Amino acid sequence: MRAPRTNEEWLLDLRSEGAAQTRALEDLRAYLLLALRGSMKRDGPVPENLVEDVVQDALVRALDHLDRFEGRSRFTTWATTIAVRTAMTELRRRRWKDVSLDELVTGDALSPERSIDPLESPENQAAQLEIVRVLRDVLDNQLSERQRTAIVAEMRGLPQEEIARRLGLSRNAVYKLGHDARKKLKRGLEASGLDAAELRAAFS
Amino acid sequence: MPLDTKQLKRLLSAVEDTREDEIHCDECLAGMAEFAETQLVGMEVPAAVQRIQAHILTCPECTEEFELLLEILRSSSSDLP
Repeated sequence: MRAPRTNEEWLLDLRSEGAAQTRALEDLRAYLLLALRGSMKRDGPVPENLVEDVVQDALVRALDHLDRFEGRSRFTTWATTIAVRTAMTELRRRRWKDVSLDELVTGDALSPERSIDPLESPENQAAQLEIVRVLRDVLDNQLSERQRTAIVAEMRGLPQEEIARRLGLSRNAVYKLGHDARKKLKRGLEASGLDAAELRAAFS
Repeated sequence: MPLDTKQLKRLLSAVEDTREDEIHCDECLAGMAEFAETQLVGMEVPAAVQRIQAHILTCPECTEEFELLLEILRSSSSDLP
């Protein structure tokens, strides 16, 4: 049995042509298949050909981005991060394919009846009511339509890449929409004199 | 339908963890392998990788991917070639 490749050997072999590259690709494919097979199936059955397709896509992406590997981890760990993202993207797409973005974000994002905990003390309910009032004001009046859509859909559980797919954007762009929304919400709460300790206490 | 109490708590937690300067998901992916390996051996997180850690706090998808990566790496010493 040959010794595991060093990072440099992985890069050298994968960038070569002929038998050395073929062997390296086969070894990396076997490694990623073994890594993903169990983890992709942890939440339910997944067809074996789906695992193989995901690994094939991940191999292509890894090869396309070899110049981005900076050697700060083992090469196989880096390749696994690409395979994990490829796998999770596909699983999320399948899981959420029938969910409508419009249905998730249309209407009021917050309401006292649904958003406030009726089992809380009257003091905490009053504090929650004030928090909801401030958040609603920011959501309705200070966010762009896309920022509001991104943050509300995300809190309803829709993965960012699925929001992105429905809006025709990248996952990075949706993350930025959500980040901008969170910053405005944070400033709105701070401007109203509500600090982190009060928020935690109200929803303890 | 409005957010329920649990979803509102998630929103408040995400807002509280928000920083002015956050990296996006692709930048997180680029440093995730290094961060995972430091976590596995219990090393202190290098300053350059702390932004990865901060992103994972606020991004549920990157959190899910990071946890899966850790799970794979933990099993790799015994199962993977």
